[in-house]
Amino acid sequence: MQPIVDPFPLSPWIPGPFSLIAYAFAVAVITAILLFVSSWLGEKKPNPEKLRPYESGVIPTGTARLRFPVPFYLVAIFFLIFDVEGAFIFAWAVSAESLGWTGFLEITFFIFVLIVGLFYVWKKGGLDWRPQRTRK
Amino acid sequence: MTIYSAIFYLLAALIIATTALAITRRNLVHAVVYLVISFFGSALLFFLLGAPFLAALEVIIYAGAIMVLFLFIVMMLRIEESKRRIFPLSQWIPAAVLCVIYLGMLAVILSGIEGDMRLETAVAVPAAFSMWIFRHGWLAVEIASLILLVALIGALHIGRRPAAADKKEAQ
Amino acid sequence: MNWMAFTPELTYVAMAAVFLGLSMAREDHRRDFHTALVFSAVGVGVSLASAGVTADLFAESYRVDLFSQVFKVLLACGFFLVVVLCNELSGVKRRLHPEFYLLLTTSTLALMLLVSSVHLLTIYVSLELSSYSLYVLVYLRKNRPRRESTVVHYFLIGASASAVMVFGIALLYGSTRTMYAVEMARVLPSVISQPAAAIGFVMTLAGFFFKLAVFPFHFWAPEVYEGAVNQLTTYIATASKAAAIALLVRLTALGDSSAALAQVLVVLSIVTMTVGNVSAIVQKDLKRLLAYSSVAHAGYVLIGILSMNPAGYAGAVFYSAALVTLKFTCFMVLVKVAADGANITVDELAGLHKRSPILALALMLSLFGLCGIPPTIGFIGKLLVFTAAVEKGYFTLVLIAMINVVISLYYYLLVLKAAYLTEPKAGLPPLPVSAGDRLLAGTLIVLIVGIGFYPDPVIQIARSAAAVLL
Repeated sequence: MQPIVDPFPLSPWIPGPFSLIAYAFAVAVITAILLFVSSWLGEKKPNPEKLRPYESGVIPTGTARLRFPVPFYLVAIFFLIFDVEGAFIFAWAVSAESLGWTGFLEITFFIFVLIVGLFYVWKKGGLDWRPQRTRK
Repeated sequence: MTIYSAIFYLLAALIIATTALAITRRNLVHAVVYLVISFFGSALLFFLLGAPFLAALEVIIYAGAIMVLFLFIVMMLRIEESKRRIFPLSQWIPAAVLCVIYLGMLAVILSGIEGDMRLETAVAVPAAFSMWIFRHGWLAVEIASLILLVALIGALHIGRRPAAADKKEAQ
Repeated sequence: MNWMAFTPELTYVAMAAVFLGLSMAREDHRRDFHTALVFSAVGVGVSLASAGVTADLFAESYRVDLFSQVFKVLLACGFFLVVVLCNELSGVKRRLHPEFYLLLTTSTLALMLLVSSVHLLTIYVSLELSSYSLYVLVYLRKNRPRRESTVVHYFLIGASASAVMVFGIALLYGSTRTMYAVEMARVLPSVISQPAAAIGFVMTLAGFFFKLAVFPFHFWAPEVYEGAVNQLTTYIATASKAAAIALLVRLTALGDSSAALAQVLVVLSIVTMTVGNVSAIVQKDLKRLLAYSSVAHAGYVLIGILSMNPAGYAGAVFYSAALVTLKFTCFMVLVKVAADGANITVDELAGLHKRSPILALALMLSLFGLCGIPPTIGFIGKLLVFTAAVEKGYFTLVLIAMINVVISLYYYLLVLKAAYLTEPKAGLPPLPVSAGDRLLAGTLIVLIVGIGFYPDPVIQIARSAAAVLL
């Protein structure tokens, strides 16, 4: 058996720092200009009505820091899990053609497992929106 | 000092500063925002060191999804801006001990390196990374899918409270 | 690719798929139990059938050899036995039985993948799969106050161990430039003298120290053993330990030219067994006592591993088989005595010899075995491990281990005293022990004593399994 010696294909890298620096510089300059111009040109006559949070004309009640129900949190976790799944699919997608059918089968199994998982969560009511779900 | 090392040290300083800010803030939302900046710094560092795919994942998963999760926890717990530190001083002691151990280890590792070591700049483009992982490491990818499945089941059962608790809250 | 070599794993993949389906079907716990029984029995058969196969799979990141197959048979047997105990799985809601079996299956699958993996990435991912399954399983116990805190402690310690392990893998990769065990075995001797490689190596082992409950990653053991369903505790104490021992042996065999590594392991071994034995003395809950006894046994196993000679590796392999048999016997008695799925204290064993003589006998022999009293399988295990260490000149270490064995004798005898000498306060009825249970207990008794008298065949298997690594 011949072990694979460092199969990671590394090619020499000469990054073009100019584009990165130019881009960062442009971002900084434009942000600075926008902030400066809006504070310079804008009129400042604050009153309580103006300082109130904008809620499409509805007068806000209570604090914005209310407690979120747990189902939202569950959905955030599911999002995280499927986000990680997405990362694997990106990895496959960038060289899908050269990976060929073998790669396709590999990613199919991967996605299939996760779809079964999604179906499981769905079936078990994990995606139910109502906080107080009545179960039998 | 080349331009790359200048950028490297700048980013490293940014990461250390924002991470330090993140763990010392008393307002949790501020802490999360500093952590997001720290993750962006790490992503740039990965990019600088020639791992663009890793940089993208750092932004998508860490700065994106995981920070959303953190924000949800902050919102769920309804922690007011408290006078108390998030981490009481008694918890800093074990952390400090671990830090000392870690620094000691780092010193030992560095002492073992003789002479100058030049970091060779090389890049692993996403396509090359993908070819490697799906040609040589695809068993690990399939196992990862099972981990995600188990995590999904676990999140559902551990994260969901019994219906009785919800009812109590609704009343 | 030679798929035949992969059949044991595929069996468990199929089993996991079936239970995922059943979890969405109508609730029927008898059907779940019988399905699990059939599948796990098939798993044992398939593992035995593929015991002699050798192959390199998945771009050489997966190696099927005698070493891995021996452990796969051990894991399959352990899993089957745990499923047999699930006949009365009263600690888990009936609705969640399919999930319970599903996660046990994924954990077993992960452990099987683990013992065959020869690529650090695959090793790490398999380890995580098994740990994640166990985190969720621990939570599934019903009517357990503060089960969240148990799970969080377990998870945090596991996650820290994983973090240390990943950092170690990174250091190891940095100094050897390879993730393949075969290649690493070639490169490592020339770089192990560098601090980066040596530290990375020890940190890589941390993940398995966590699984095996070696100091300083042992803090989860008593809490999780106590908090988990009895059947799950059985699984954690048997199958998951065996796989951890397998990987520690496989990885240590790579770096066995390092004296510094051996020194670190000596210190860990001494601290682990002493902490385990001393803490076990004061335990009232039987599961906590067995948890600390597991910690102590992790220390003894390390003696075999750190000897870094063929005898030591073979001793560790034999010891893991002995540990599975003995720990399972203990827990079988525990599960039968605690019929309603509750935890029991040592005192509740009172009058066991009258309530069920065969269970009391099984308990006695398994405790003698754990202690290392001849003629049991446990004595042979300790003998092999200790002689391997003496061969390498670790006299002090073996002496400390002997002192520890004497300490452990005290608390094992306390348990025996409760089972044989103490009279129960109220007259308890005889335990209902079915014919199947009798058969199981009888088989285990025969195994414990039989291998104690004629250990040669098993020692031969352990030797040839360990020889694969060298």
